[in-house]
Amino acid sequence: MAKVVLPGDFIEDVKNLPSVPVIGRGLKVYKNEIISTQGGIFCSGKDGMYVDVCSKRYQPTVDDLVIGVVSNVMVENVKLDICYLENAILSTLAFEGATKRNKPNIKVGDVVYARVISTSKFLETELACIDKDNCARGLGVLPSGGMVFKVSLKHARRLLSPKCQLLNLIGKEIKYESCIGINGRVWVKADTIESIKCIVKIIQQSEAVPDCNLKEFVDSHINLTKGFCKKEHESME
Amino acid sequence: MRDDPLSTQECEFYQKSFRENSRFDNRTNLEHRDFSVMFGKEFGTCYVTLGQTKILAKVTLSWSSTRENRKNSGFIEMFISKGNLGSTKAEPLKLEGRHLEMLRCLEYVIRETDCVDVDSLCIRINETCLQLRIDIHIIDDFGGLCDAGSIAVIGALKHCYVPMYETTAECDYIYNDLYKYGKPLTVFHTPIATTFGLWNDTGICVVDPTNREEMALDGQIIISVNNRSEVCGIYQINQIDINASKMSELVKIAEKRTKYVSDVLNKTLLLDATNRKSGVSVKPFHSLIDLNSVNTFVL
Repeated sequence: MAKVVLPGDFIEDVKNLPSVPVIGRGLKVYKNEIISTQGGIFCSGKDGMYVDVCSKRYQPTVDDLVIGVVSNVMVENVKLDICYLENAILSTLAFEGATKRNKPNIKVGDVVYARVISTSKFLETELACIDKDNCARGLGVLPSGGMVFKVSLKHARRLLSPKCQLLNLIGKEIKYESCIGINGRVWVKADTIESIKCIVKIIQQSEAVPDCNLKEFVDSHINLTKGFCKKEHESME
Repeated sequence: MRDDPLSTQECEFYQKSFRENSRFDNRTNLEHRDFSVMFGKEFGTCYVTLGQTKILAKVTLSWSSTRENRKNSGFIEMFISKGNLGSTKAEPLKLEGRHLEMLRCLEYVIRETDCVDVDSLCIRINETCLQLRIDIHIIDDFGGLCDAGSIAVIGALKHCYVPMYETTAECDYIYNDLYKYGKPLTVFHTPIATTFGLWNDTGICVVDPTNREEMALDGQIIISVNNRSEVCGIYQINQIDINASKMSELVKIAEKRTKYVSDVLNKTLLLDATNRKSGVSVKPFHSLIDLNSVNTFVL
């Protein structure tokens, strides 16, 4: 079920719920009542409920995977800009195989893919590039040669959804690597600058394209990049 | 608030695109962004969109006393809106960085090069004059502030009307628009600024850089040329190395750009005058608000 809620709308009484659900994004429990704090589409299931919000400002949550830009390197910590009010803290020992005698080589301006391990409104956000087994699993400093840009948070969640076929459609035509952070930052790396520009434009402009029209949209953009229109392409085949 | 930092990979990407003469938005190094000019319902308001940079300029004439050092002419004052709508770095009570440079550059070009006939704004020598006040509102900042700002200010000055006034031996009469129509403000020439981003190591020159490209370049030169191919001002930001032949090439590019912008501005002014005469309703500015468009605020 889906319905539109506004900030301050009453959702449900806590006592009426059968079990302890997950009160997700955009909702708040206030005096035994669940009230929405943001406007959007209310989604609920048997596990929990949340509000699908269209926004551009990121709010850190534990276990989010974010892309940050290094803004300051200190002795034991690295400050990362994750599109939030304050810079997040990333310990230099929170990398795979990092010890006090073997620290990773991080410079200001590097792009890091990290996980949020602690956040609150009283303390700084803490990040880590390892999980509890001390394995990286793709986290860490992203390799050079790519391009970092920003999209809205709703679009980032859409790209990360398994139902979205945009990245697969791009992958059929162009070989590329990508990394999408939940904070709206996207990192793309391909062989040539033209490929990177094409992918960036497709990802940025596909925000307003519905899912059923994605294939025509991607095909038209890639054909534009290759320099001929669709008819010529068909006639050549 | 902080600006979005430019990462090393983004900087290298932009520099590589400068080297290959193919920029991020499919422009070559010597191409400008598209711009559009729109005049408001009130006389003296001009709204300019340069790519995604949006600037609104408003010219107001008000009655004032003359200044001591120039008793027989009016004077011009320029203000930039200090709200934080245009950029994340703009703070309410502080002018810094790009905005201060934009104000200095435009002030010099409009005031010091005698763009407007301020002598005709004097009503009574040593007593009363008309004060010209120019307000510039930076609605969105995506680079090219001086370019869009100069187009907006020149458009607003050309769109402005001096109120009709009469002087007698005892007192002055200044009429509002309902009673008597005024005359246009006398604008002698139209200086238009063109921004060039420069890269010291390779000598590459980039025309009209965006805000992210500005961060990847070493510095900028802003050349103001009017429609008679006269250089009105050259403003330099950061420390850059440039020789005379390169500078003359930049001036030629700025001259061509100024001719094109002047033509577009004159056509738009003529269209606006025709629409007003034939009674077509002027489109208000708030219809340009698009909530889905990208802006630098909370980017």
